[in-house]
Amino acid sequence: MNRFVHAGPRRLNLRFQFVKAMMTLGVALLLLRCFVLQVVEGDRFRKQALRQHEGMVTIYPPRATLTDREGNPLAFSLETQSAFVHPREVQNPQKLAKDLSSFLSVDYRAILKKLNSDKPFVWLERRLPEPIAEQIQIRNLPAVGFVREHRRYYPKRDLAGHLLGFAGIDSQGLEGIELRYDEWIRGEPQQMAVERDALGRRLELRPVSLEPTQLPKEIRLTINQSIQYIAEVELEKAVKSTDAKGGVVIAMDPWSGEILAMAVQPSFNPNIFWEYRPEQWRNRAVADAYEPGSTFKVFLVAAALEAGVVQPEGTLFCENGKYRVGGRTIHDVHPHGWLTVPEVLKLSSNICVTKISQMLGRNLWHQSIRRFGFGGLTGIDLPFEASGIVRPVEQWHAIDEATTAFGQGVSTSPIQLVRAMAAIANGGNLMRPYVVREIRDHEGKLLVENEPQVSGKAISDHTAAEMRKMLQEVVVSGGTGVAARIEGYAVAGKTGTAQKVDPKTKRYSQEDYVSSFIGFLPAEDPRIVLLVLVDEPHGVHYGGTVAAPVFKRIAEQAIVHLNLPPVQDFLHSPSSLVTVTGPEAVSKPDPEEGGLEGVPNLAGMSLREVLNRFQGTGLQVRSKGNGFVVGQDPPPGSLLEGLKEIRVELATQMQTQ
Amino acid sequence: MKHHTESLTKSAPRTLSDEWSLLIVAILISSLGLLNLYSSTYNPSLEQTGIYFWKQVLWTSMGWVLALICWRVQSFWWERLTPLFYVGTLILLAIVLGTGKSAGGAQRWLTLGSMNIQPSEISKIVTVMMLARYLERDWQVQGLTLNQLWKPALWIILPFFFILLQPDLGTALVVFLTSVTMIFFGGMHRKAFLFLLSSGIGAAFVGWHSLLKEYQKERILNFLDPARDPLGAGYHAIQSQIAIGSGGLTGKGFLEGTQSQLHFLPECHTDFAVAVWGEEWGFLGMLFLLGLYLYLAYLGLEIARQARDRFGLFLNLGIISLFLWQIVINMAMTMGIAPVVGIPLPLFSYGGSSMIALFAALGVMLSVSRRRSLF
Repeated sequence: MNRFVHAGPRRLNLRFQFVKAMMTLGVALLLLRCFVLQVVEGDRFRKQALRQHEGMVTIYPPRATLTDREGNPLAFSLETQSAFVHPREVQNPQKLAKDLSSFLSVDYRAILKKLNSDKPFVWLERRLPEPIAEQIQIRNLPAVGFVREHRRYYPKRDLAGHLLGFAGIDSQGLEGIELRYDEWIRGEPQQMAVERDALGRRLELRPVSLEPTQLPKEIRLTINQSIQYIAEVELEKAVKSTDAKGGVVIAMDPWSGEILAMAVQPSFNPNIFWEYRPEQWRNRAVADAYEPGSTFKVFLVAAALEAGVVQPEGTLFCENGKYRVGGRTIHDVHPHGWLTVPEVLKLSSNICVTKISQMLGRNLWHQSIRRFGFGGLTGIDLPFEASGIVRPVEQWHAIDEATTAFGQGVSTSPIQLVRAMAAIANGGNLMRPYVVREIRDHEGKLLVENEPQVSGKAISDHTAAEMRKMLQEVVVSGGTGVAARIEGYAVAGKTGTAQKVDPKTKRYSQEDYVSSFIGFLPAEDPRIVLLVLVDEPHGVHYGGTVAAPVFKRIAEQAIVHLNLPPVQDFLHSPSSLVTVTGPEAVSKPDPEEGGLEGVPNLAGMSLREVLNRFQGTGLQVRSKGNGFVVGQDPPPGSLLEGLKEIRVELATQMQTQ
Repeated sequence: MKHHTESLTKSAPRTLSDEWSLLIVAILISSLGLLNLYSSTYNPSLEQTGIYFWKQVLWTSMGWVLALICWRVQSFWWERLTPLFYVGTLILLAIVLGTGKSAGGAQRWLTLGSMNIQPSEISKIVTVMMLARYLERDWQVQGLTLNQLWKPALWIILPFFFILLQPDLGTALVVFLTSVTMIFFGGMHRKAFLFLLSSGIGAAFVGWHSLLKEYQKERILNFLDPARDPLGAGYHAIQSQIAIGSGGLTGKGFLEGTQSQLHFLPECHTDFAVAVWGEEWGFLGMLFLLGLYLYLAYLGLEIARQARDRFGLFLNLGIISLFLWQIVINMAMTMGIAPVVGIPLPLFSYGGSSMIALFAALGVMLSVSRRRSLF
């Protein structure tokens, strides 16, 4: 056969036969194994495969409770029932669909379609209210089962909606704190298998008990619920009365960087977030950047003082209202002659700050802008932060040196502005702003604690002290911010009126402005930095007219909640009543003063609290369910006059113990 | 002239048809592999899908062309170039080991521009060639004695250890088994055979009872029997058994394999590709695929039998046993009767290096068996 293999044909042939036989045997054994797996045990494996991919349902544990700094709940998860069906077990789909259609929000045909599905498991409706689920359960319908799921509930509705954000149906954080802290808020999802009971009849999701890691945590925010409420109410009033596009209020503790309130208008209700346009979900206090306008002058003057190019008592000539720079003319609203540096701020002269900027030089000015944290992220613990735009100094023209001095040609997010102002308030430290104080597990054990963090030194202590003195001048008689003045308290601040760039013409609009006031108090020992920004007010648009009064109203109410004492001599003056319109004033009836003005928002209260609140008013309280208030009739804000009874619906909150 | 000599040989038409049949069967298997890859990576929401599939289409068609080219190369070149290939492959293996320090797991790939090549795939074939060359020259009628065995042993051990160090246990095992098959086929002196057998058994016995610690034994047992450790290494084996088993007699149909599509079965396009095949085409599909492989092996053995010199014979035999060992180990592991080691199914699994190397090997195999009138 093979002449070159000298083993002899027979011996060689034998070896070939042997190899062939071994190979055939190997393949035959593989085929035998295939036969066992696929034909003999095929059914068992098919069932196993079915259970793996169709019989598994993911159930999400309750999300963490979000509270304000004092522990008042702002978001929590309520237990609900989700109904499912095993279509393969349904004998009479038409009848079952008919029975179900009177309870579910989907119609007969949609239900029938689900019942005729060839899958072993189909959701009928998720997160049914308890009473409806109960009614279905009583009827003991075949092949229908329930599983406990949790629904996210925001008892204060719009309150801090932009800050809290919201979560989707599968417990995924989509906006705000719900998104940023999702890994802490969301528990470990559970996989549940669809199984029969011992009788082989009823099918149920076997609920696995919650692991300790799945019990809801508590996340405590830095927000003060009362100040937040005041900020939102006052901002909303201002936005409505000026017919503005929107607005932002931020209150921050200048020493720690804790955000005390963050309000955005127009607001939205996270309970029904899907009913709003997505752009309304955006937290403009953090995610948007605006040209700051005259509030930016504060940082220029601070930079110039720091560099020593001007002295607090130095004077400048303001050119009587017109000054040419780089081929353009800078105007002042009112012409001024010679002004001291504090007067430049007080009267907000564009021309004089331009001169200061020229004295400082663009390099030092640009460095200082960056040192105040503009053009960079603040690191706040909220998603989608905008860094604003500060162009590199190499790209500046002569005119930029002038316009940036009064806040044109740069853009800053509201939170950046607040942080920079806080640096002046606290002696020069740039603080990292934050909204979450601490995270605790279900037993109250501290898991995470955010602490104040200094991210840089913007100016010296000395310069900051000089600035605090100067900025008080703004709100005294004759200053642009006089409307922000509060009796008995030293307020420091600055107005801002920025022209907006018209997106169509790319030029500064003559109609659209951003009016703002940013300040802090008490001026010598600041406890709160407050920014009020009103976007596109109609009619009067000056920051001093639109935003400063809002600042005053929010600040004078916040004073009460922060327990700030007024200056000594003020205490002896007789006319020192401050009207408070916080939530307490609205919702707490004061029988001695003649009852309520409107129905309070009862959401999140226990029945006992509700009864206490209406004790002695002659109102009947009717309740349904137990736990905490989730619904009320009439709704909050309705007239109380002529009302005889109030109905409240309660539901159980997931135990946080 | 070539035609002339072929017509002189009695079995020439038969041989020619065997060679073409073998190539066609190989092309058919690789096409089934592509079909299967399309299904196992089919997922409209993933953009990667297209990339895997089209990459493999490119490698496979390159393999086809390469097989034809290698076939047409004058056969004596292959034997002459073998030592060069061998040394080159050893260098590549060394480079892989040298550059592999940063990787956490096994380092098997060598990056050449935008391409990743796997030298261990090439080394399997080159080792076969080297052994065939040795047996061509130093073959003994009475079989190899212990004193003669050191040389082939060296040729095997060099690539074997390089691969083992990567570490790629599966490939090293295949190199070892294939080489042993070739040497046994060539014949071994009885004394040598008995000595090797008894010393192997003795070493295993002593090792197990006195050298290994308990946890090491445990590891070996887990490795040998995946069912002992269902969440660890056994996960793959169990999931692939479920996939194959759930296919039943006729399978779930093309693109209908739920286990692989829903990612219950990881790595289902590479080493576990046949699990997808079994799930979607059932027992009948497995029968067809295994039938094709067996037919390929028969054809290869037939060609080997007709080879005109020892180099051709042993090269054919080596390549075919390389195929068979890989098929048996890969399938046995997907069916849960062998430990899970990383071995692709020849001509079927995703992977460019393996596909191209195997087609090239088939081409070389056909080329050397054409050698007729040189001696």
